[in-house]
Amino acid sequence: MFIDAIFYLVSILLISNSLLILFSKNVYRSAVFLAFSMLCFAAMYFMLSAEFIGVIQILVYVGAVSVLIALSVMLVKDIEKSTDNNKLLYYSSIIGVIFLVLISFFIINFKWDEFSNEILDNSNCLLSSCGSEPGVLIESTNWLGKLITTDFMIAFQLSGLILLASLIGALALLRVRMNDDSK
Amino acid sequence: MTLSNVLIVSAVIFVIGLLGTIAKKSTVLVIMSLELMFNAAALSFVAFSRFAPGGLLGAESASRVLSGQVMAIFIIAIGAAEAALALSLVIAIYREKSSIEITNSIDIKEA
Repeated sequence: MFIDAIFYLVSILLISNSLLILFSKNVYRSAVFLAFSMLCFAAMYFMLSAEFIGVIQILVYVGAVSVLIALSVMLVKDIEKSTDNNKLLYYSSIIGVIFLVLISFFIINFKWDEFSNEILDNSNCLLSSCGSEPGVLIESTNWLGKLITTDFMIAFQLSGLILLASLIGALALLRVRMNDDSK
Repeated sequence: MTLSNVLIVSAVIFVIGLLGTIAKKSTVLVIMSLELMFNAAALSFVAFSRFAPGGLLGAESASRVLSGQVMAIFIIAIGAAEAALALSLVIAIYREKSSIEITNSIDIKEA
């Protein structure tokens, strides 16, 4: 009951902050609203008992990405004009509403319980606490580390490679332009 | 708080991000909307992981229950990489065009 109330509160905050990103008249405020909505995402992760993801969300998104975006917002010269929409706004909102209605219809009408029972029947877990109850994750961070370093090892290494490549790409992109300026 | 509620919140955020990605002129706002879409997908992954059947009983069950959280970690890593690269691209476009409107950057290849 209590967690439900908090869930609805956080959902309303999340959706309203996300809408304010699009509809505020000032790009800098949009960046601040982005940081707020990332905090709401982190709260959502904490409620979904994914503490590690929530902490990483706060560290990476609120701490790094929002600051990066706020810094690049300072490039914007005319702050009033830069929140303009292009002429695709009405078409894209119609498409978005249709997509939302269809996917909500699917989510509400799909039998999630039967689906998860089907998964349970096909998997071999110990019978004692394998109900359709949501799993209680004890020491999820510990298991997450074990899982990343065993099952998802190659994907983990590749994500590190992607980070390195994006770092080198960003530096190369800016360095070439700086050389052109000096000429 | 059921699975359907979290999934609907995630779908709403995804559609808001889609709208901003299509309908905004400024490149920075497009990147913000992209981040929203990334996070909506990660939220639905974590929700599936939370409401997966069964508890955490052994390695077998752990890989089933926690795979969603691992996917969320990868999404966060990719999102951070994308943000760094895209914002450096914004700076590159700004140096060429003195503007960050996405409609002005169509012929960036020639520059």
